[in-house]
Amino acid sequence: MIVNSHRWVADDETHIAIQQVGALVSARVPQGSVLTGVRDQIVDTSAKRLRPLLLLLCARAAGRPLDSSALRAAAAVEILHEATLVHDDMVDASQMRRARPSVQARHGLRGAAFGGSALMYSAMSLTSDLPEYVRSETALTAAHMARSQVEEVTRAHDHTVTPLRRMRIMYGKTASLFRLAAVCGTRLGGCEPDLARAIVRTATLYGMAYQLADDIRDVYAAMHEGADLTRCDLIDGVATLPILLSLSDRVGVVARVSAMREQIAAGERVSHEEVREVARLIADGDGMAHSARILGDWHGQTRQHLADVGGAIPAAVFGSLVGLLDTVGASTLRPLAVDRTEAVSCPT
Amino acid sequence: MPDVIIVGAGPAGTSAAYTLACGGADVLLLDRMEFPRDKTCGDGLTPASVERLVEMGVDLSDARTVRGYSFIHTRSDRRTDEMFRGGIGTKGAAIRRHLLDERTLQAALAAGAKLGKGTVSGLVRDESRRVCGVDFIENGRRRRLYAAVTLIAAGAAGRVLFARDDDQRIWSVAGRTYVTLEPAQSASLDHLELYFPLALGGRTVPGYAWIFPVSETHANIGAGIARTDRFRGVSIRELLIAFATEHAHLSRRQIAEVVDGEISTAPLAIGESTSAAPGVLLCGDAAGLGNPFTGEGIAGALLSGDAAARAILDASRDGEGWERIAADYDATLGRLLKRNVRLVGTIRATLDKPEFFHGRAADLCFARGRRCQAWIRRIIHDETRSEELPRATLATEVVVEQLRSDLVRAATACEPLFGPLLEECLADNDITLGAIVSAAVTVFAAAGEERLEELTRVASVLEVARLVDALHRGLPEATAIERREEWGCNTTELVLADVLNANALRMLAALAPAWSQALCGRLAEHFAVRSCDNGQLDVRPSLLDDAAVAEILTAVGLGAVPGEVVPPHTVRRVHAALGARSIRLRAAS
Repeated sequence: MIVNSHRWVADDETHIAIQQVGALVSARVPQGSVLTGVRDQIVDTSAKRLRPLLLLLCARAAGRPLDSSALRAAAAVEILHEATLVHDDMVDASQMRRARPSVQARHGLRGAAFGGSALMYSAMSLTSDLPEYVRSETALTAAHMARSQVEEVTRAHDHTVTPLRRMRIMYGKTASLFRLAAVCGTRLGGCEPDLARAIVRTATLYGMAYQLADDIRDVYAAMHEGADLTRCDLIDGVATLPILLSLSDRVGVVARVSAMREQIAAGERVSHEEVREVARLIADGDGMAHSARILGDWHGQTRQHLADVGGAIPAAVFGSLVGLLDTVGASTLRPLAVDRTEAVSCPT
Repeated sequence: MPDVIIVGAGPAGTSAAYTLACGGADVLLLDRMEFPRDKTCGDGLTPASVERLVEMGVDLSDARTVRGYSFIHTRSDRRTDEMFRGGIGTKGAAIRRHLLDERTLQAALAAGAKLGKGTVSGLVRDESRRVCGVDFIENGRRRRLYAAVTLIAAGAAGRVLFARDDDQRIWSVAGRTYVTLEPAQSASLDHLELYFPLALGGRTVPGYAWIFPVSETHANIGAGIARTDRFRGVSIRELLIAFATEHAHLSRRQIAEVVDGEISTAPLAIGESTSAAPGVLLCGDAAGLGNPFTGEGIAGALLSGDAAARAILDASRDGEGWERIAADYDATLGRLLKRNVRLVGTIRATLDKPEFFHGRAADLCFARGRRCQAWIRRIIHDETRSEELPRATLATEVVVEQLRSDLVRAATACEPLFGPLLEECLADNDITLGAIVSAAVTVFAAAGEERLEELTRVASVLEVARLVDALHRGLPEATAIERREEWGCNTTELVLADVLNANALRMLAALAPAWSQALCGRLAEHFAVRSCDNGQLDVRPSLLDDAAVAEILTAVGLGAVPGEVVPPHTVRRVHAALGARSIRLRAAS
């Protein structure tokens, strides 16, 4: 099953390990809770498990075999990620997650709140007997993520957020977790400091690109006829980079977006047609093209950083890392831009 | 030479004059206006104001009685009535300022104060730069008047007399007009109605509109807005007209005549860290003592005037000097208006984000039955906390204070308004921060220094976990989609909980691995169980209850490993200490 979703993992050891991490995660989801559903979803093939995979590849970068520390750290990172997804779905009022009803849709807000917190402490318990830096970095990342979530929520429908500020939120909400995976992986795997630094920088930028690609897809997705509007940045008022850049480009978009905001604030339902049209305005504007260029640039930079230290990394691991970085390459967006109907499947 | 000169004969000045004159002091009130005179104001009186006015013998028999606030959400027509709470003066009132100010002035004069009509052009200082009087222009003649103490109670304009370089106040402007009411409409108006959020040209502004009943036939209708750089150009007239035309239907009254009415405006300035300088005290709006959320200033004026007067009388009785007066006044203001002082910085930081500040705050007010709602309303109501809290042992206080300030700092760093929200949350009766730390410290202080640090860390983690537990319990069972319109408030509680969770993780990371693992496991299990027991949350056998906590604390304190059996009598002692809840937080200074 995993083989299909991660064809680009060339390192056999990592390949086997990621499946073990899946089992470990599944075993660590607290028993008898509303999270049993989450467990189903984690075991499901649609879980990409990019963060634990990144951690394992980083741990292999110095050529050492994987040990149980790396597996535990990888599982911890994935569980922490799951914890934030459960709470994110509450904030966004999302009904679906990986093609199934989200925890909050199934078990209500209170159940999901407790469930997400349970996962957070479960993640931390996995790191208890790991080196001190794993524990402190994990806690630090949780703080970053919480802070950025607050910033996103309190800035909802505020389109005066500067692009730089938005990038800070992107770092906190998304990239910091990829950074955590790389920091833990490289240190557990015994990478030399220079190699570790280069990989961590690559991973962090990859995280930024990952979020940007997600934001771009969100605009395309909103254009689609049957899109699930319960998770849509335009409706939730999240000022993503593509939306912000479009607003500075085109006055017409500003008016449409603020009209929509007023409607939402008044508790009125925004018509699907309206959302689709605004999304189309954004998609056709310079802001979107600008975002795609930024994405391409970031992707290129990650490839370059990695290539600079490529000689020190075993070939199979290097190849897998390149495969990972390419998951946000421009080519992953192009089909969507050409045939927008494919954009329906919202990325996680 | 009078004992005290008071510049300004509004509520602050007359309140001070009344108390001083009753105490036998020779008081001279100075005002440039001929009374009765009109004054731009909302005309609403909170229970605290009514209480003080009754004390001064002011006749309020013809004032309209109001029972509380009504918050009206302009975007959804939702309305929530909030009765005034608190002790004796549970009723507020509304009365036109030209009537009110004339009556408070008469009360002060009847008590023995004197009045001079003219303009104060400046303060007089002696060689030590201490203020010793004022320059007073009366009928075109300048006179120099000397007094032991000068009170400045001249409203927001009073700052002209007492300019400060470090002006950190929030400058706002408010405007109002009067509309006539049909008798039927008038009868239904027995709350101070606040309408927000307000928007002009599609842009939410940091302000609100109000409708207050002032008589059987008239209502005061107005709007106020903070003058930040982003909103400097907004016209009050336009705002008020937009409100009257777009939201008139919300009031269920005829208020359209506002459009033609005469609107008078006045500046407000709120937030000043000091209210005294050698020889001079500032009272009321001159000291920036209005409510930073609503702008309401009469209560702060009446109370601060009285407080200044008492400080002067007490010092004079005890034969003490200026230092005592200033210290006393400062302490009383701190107690009366603590929340204002704390909130001003916060609110200033959020003013440029009105979507959050007034948009979200509106959501918070309108969400039903949630904790945040109670907290934000307490902030708006400007309620001072009940009684002084009992002192605990010093060591405990230090640890709890440290934990409290760590958490508040973390919350504030995320969003300025979250700091006060968390403080309100910590002041909640059923969320008592400190019980666990207190038990840990008092029971095990004797167990040896080296265990103390670990112990307080464990206790702090458990405290935070209980807080998160309480926040989660306050959430509704329904899904977000069903509650979308009320979700703003719950989002706040959720993200606040995650900030706290992150803090707990940080402390867990610093624990000995065995205890870190044991506690993480325990908390994961606790929250997992909680996630399933919807509907039975009041039944509290939980992994975080006092018995469970006592056992953990005992084991950590004795240096046991997780799971090791510890002496039951020790556990019982800790349990008892937890039950005693010997410490509660003192409000932040």
